[in-house]
Order: sequence, then structure tokens, then C-alpha cells
Amino acid sequence: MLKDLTLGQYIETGSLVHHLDSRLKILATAGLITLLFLVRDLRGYLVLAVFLAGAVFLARLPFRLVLKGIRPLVWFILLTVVLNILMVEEGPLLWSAGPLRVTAGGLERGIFMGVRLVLLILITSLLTLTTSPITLTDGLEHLLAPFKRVGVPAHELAMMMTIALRFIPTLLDETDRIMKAQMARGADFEHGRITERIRNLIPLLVPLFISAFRRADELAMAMEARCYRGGEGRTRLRELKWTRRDYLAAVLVAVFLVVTAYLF
Amino acid sequence: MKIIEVRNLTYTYQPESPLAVTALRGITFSVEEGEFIGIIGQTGSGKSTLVQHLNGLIRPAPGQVLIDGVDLGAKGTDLRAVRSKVGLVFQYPENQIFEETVAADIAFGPRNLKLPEEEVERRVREAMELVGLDYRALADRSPAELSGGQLRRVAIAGVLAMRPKILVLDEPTAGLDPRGRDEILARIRALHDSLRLTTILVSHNMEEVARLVDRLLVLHEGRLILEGPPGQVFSQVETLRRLGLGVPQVTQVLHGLKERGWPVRTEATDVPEAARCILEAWRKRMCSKT
Repeated sequence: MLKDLTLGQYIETGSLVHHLDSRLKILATAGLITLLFLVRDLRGYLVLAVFLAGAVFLARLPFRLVLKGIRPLVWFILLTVVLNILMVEEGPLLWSAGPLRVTAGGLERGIFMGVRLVLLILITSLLTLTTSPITLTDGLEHLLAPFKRVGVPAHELAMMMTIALRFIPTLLDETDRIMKAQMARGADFEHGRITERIRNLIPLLVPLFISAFRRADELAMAMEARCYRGGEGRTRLRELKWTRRDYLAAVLVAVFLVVTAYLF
Repeated sequence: MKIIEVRNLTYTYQPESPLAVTALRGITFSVEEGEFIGIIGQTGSGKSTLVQHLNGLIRPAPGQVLIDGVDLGAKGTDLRAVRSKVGLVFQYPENQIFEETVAADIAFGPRNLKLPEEEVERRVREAMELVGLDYRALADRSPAELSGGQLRRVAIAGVLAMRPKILVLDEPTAGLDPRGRDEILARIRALHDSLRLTTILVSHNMEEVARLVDRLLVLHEGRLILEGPPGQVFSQVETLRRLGLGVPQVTQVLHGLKERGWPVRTEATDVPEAARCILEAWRKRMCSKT
């Protein structure tokens, strides 16, 4: 049940987009998100959506899978849309019932916010879908390296992220297994009042924490046993390398960002 | 009477995604009441997925699972009732223990059945006795103070306290030392006999299932490949070897003798039985020579 999450998943297809340098992909993602908040026009979002669709196509990912990433947040998006429609009062009144008033401006605003959220999710999941966690954190470490001088522990941050990402599926599996084990003993995680439901989580959370701590302890031991002493002087198996492909993609993305930001 | 019926069961994890894995492919079998069944197969053969269907943790689709005639896939089936009837002991079940005392953890199942407190206590006492844990000495101890073997027995007691008719154990001996393993297996056999349970034991270890069970199901890549009494299944030495499963050592010895021309029966799976077969063959050989 928990395994159906697309958010944060990495799927290897060996495409062009997968092979791009992760630093570029991180910066491009940051750029696209900035653009998302700069654009004040639905037409701008249409252009952005076309660009994203192109990227998904180049990444050889099935569209349906990418769109599935929206599903866990669909209620959040709907709530935002409805609240915006009801709260913003601008332009001609379209419909009203009691205190509820829908105006043309509000409707536009609601749709605009909904599209913005959907695009935000798509942009970020495109990054994680096409970039393996290790290269992702590698890229982050490189990007943060200049800030080491002002005391940002770039390597440690990246290592923590690597470990956290590495253990998300493990912990999801573990949660699934413990949940099932307690359900086999008659536990119920789906029914009852909210206070009951929270109390019912204890049989799940206690074993989960115990196992997480045990795993953390074992991992620390295993790392020390292999002489891990932080990032100083550490070399890598796979160095990040900029190729002509990356320069090309970087120029392309930069041009797209500037032009779209200028037009809309 | 057939207590478990599985018909044409297929299961795919993450269907319609690039990560889709088909764990079960068209599994069909049935289990008579009171039978002791062994399910063997390598890691990833679908054993765990199959047993999770038996108490409705995974809904059968497509395919059917009937427990005591109740269809687990049908809408409105009371899965809680099914789960109290089918006790499922997971792999490394000690990982599910969460209460502060042994007794409180074993009481979790019966309490979920909404039984009165005295009945819960009686069942905890009974379940602890059944798995060979001293109630007076251990009931109020913290699980953290117990050994691995003891913890596993606490977890099994937690399932037995629900008084299941069918007991399903997924690799109950994984990670135990040889002594702990023998103890648990002997205990399971005794429980099966004294409580008149229908028992399903999942394992990848030939030696341990061969001695215990009435009938074996062999899974390979989600398919049911072989089915029958241990002696009969282990006579398919070639098939089993191809699946990377092997046969008990004594059975291998008997097959070796037969290949060398001894008139020996090969369906024995434990040492005393094999010894009898060899003696028999020895006598026949002596007779034919003289």
C-alpha cells in the first residue's frame, strides 16, 4: 500500500535526461521553480507545461507515471483551489449562495494556483525521477562546496541526505511489514475516532523507532569499520563531469527561462 | 473438509509501473483441516506474498482465497474475524513487539478481539505455557531483557493467544541458532498435534520441513511447481536441483546409492528412516549374492 508512492522515486531508463550532470538538473529545477513564481499569466504556465512535457518525453518516462505523483497531494490541491475561488473577490460576480460568492477573478485565481501547484510537483518529481539519489546528493555537495568557507558543512549535509534517501524505501517496507503484523493480531489503523486512531499508532511507531535506531547504530558501526572520517580527502568512484551535452542543455534551459520570464 | 482453498491466485506489486513485479502466477491448491503443510521456495519465490493472502492482508485479485468457505475477496467480508481464525506469524516476529511487558504484548491480540479482561489474562497465561515460557517468571518482564529465542516465542504466543484454527508461520527459524531452531520446530509440531491446528510452515530449508510436514508445496518464481508428500517431492531430485533448492542430505545419500545400483527405496527424509531403507537394501543385496 505504501509502495505506491511515486514521489521521490528514481526510475532508470538510461535516457539523455538521466545522463545529464546532476548539478545542472538541480540548478535547472531551481530555475524552473523560480520561473513558476515569476510568471503571472496562465499562458506562461502553458508554455512551461509544454517544456516539461518535452523533458518527460526526452526522459522516456511514461506520462501516466509522472502524473501519478500528483495523486497523494490531490486533496491539498483541491482545497487550495476551492479556498482561492471563494476568498478572492474580483471582477463580475458569477454565482452566489448565502455567504459563498464566486467571482470571475476568484475563479481565475483558483485555477491559476491549482496549475501552479501541479507544475511545482511535476518539476520536482521530474528531478528525482531522472536523478539517482547518490548523484543528486553528489551534485548538491558540489553546489554547496563554495559555502564551506562560511561554515556550511557541505559534505556532512550531503552525507546525511544520502543516508536519509537511502533509508526511505527501507523504512517504508518496515512500516508496511509491522503494520501487517499488527493487523494480523487484530489491530485496526483505518477506523475509529481520531483519538483512537492516534492511540492505535503506538503498536506501529514503537517497533518502527526501535528498528530505526538499531539500523542507525549498525550503519554507524559499518561506516566506522571502513574508516569513514568525514569528507576530508575523500575521493569518489564516479566523478561528476561536464560534457558538451551538459553545456548545450544548460544554454537551452537558460534561454528558455529568460525568454519565458521576459514574455510573461 | 477443505479449510483453505486458493484458486488461480495472481499478484503483482506496483502494477502498471516500470517497477511492476509479479510475485504469484496462477496458484491453485487446497488444504484439508488438520493438515500440516510446508511451503518451500527460494527467496523471492512468492512464499511471503502467498501467506499474506491467507488472512486477507492482501486482497486476492485476480483469483480467489476461501477460508472455511468464506471468500476473502468478496465485499463485506469481516476480515477481523478471518484474522482471528488464521494466525499469521511473520518473519522475525519479535520486531512487532511494542509493549512494556511480555504479558501486555501477548494480550494485544485478544484485547483487539474485545474480550473481557479475565479472559484476556487466561489466554495470555495459556499462550505462554503453550510456547514454553514461565508465566510467573516472565509475564511482567520487559521484552528488552529476553533472549532472541525467547522473544520469538513471545511473538508466537501473541498470535496463539487469539486461538487461531489455522496457524501460518513465515520462516519461524530464521536467525536462530541450531538449538533454538530445533526447539521452535518441536514446539510447532507439538502445538499442531495438541491444539488440532491446521498448520502452514514457510521455509527455504529442506531439512527442517521434511521432518515435520504431511505435504509440501514448492514455489518457484511465483508458480506452484511441485506438490505432494515430502518423500514424493524429494524424489524429484533433478527438478529441485535445477530450482536451486536441493534435497535433504540423507535423501541425497539414498539417491547416490540407487545410482550405484543399490536396490534402495529413496523416499526417506530423515536419518532413522533412511537407516532402515539402507539396512533393507543391504539385506536384499546379501540375499541376492548368496
